[in-house]
Amino acid sequence: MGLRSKRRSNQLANSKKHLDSLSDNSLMFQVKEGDLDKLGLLFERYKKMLFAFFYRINRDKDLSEDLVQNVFMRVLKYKHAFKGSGEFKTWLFHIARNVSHDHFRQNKKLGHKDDIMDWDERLTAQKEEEEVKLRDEQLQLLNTAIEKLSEEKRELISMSKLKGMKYKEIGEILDCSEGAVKVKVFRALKDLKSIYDETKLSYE
Amino acid sequence: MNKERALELLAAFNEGKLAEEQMSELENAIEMGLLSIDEMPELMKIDQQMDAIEVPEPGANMDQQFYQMLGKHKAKAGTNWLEALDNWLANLGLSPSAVRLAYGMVLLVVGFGVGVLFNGGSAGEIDKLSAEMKDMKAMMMLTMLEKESATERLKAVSISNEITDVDDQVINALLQTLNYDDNVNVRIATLEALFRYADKPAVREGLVKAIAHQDSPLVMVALAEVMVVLQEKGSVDELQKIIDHGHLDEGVEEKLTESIQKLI
Repeated sequence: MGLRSKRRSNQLANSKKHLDSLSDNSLMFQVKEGDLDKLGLLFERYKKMLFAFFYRINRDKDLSEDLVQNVFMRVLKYKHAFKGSGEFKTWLFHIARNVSHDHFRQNKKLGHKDDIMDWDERLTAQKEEEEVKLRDEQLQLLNTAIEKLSEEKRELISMSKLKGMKYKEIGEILDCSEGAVKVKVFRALKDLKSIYDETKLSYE
Repeated sequence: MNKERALELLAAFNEGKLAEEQMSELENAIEMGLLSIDEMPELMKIDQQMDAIEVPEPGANMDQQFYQMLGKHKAKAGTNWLEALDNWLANLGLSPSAVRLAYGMVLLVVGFGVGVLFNGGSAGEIDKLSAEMKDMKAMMMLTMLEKESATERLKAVSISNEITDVDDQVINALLQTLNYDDNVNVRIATLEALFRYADKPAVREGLVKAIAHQDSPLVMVALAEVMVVLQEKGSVDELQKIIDHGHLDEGVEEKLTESIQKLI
């Protein structure tokens, strides 16, 4: 190897090393060691992704913003538990799922009847808002169908729609194989399609 | 199961004629990778329809709440400030002259603090004391950035990480270092330090302008990475100019092109 190309390859190796120094895991380790400002960088990297994840599940902008905040509060609270054996993103989405489940559970505790009333009121309000926003009738039907999906399936579809989220990573978050994720997505889409068709029929 | 059987199941599913008891066989084929959802037009249609559902941008409130929460945690973590100061000085590994300078300044601030206490310090005076501490760090940083030794300059950059709420003077000094310091490691560390203040428009603007000043592939690639993280679309032109200029290492050019693709 010539001196020039050797120098270049060293530069690239160094470059990689420096890029790694900005990697999620190394930032989280710095947070763990007490450099809390580094959490700001992680927040900037993941806030939109997490927001989209929650929004696709609950269709509520304010609530989704609050849930993103809850995720990062838990990251701070449990920073000592970050071991770095897997990707930070996987760890973060484990927390996000827990936050989502806890919120869902807490809402259930308010009482099933109230819950349904809240939900209906929200749906009505959202429908009115969406009717203004969405010109496409099919999209309104689809929104209604998604609301009727189980929480688990809504969560899965939301994750599969996130930019930069691969099936393999979803598998790590859900603790199952990539193949199993594909089957889960297949089932969720199949259910959604069937609910969508039923909803469409009931409107006709 | 073989591919032929999988295709038979797929055809039946697509025609809506797959018996319920064969569904698990179809799922098995999907799990094994013999079939993909892409081959199921009805499901793909609904999947693509979902892409049309608009996800709004999170509001500025979310950022505000997060940084407030972070600030509170930092304040809590920093209550034992004397201990923190001691650790901080010990961990910096400063040269003897810098340590003397630091202790001199600490003594001055402590003297001021004692004065405040004996005269019945008010909240305003305590704020003043905190401001003095901040100024002390800033002054040390600016002094050390002028040193000839790259190690000292690296330490200076590291001190800048300790300063909360940096002023324009500190930011300008860091941007100057990013653009003109001879040492690549110092420039990389400076970039990381500036990254923390990327919420300030002057810093973002300075970072975009810094792209044109870089001759080191390391810094170029790191800057491109930062631009992607910040989603600073204004940097696309600057990055493109560097690529158009040529003479880049293949790997670096690839990385910069990739960054542009992520930005546009």
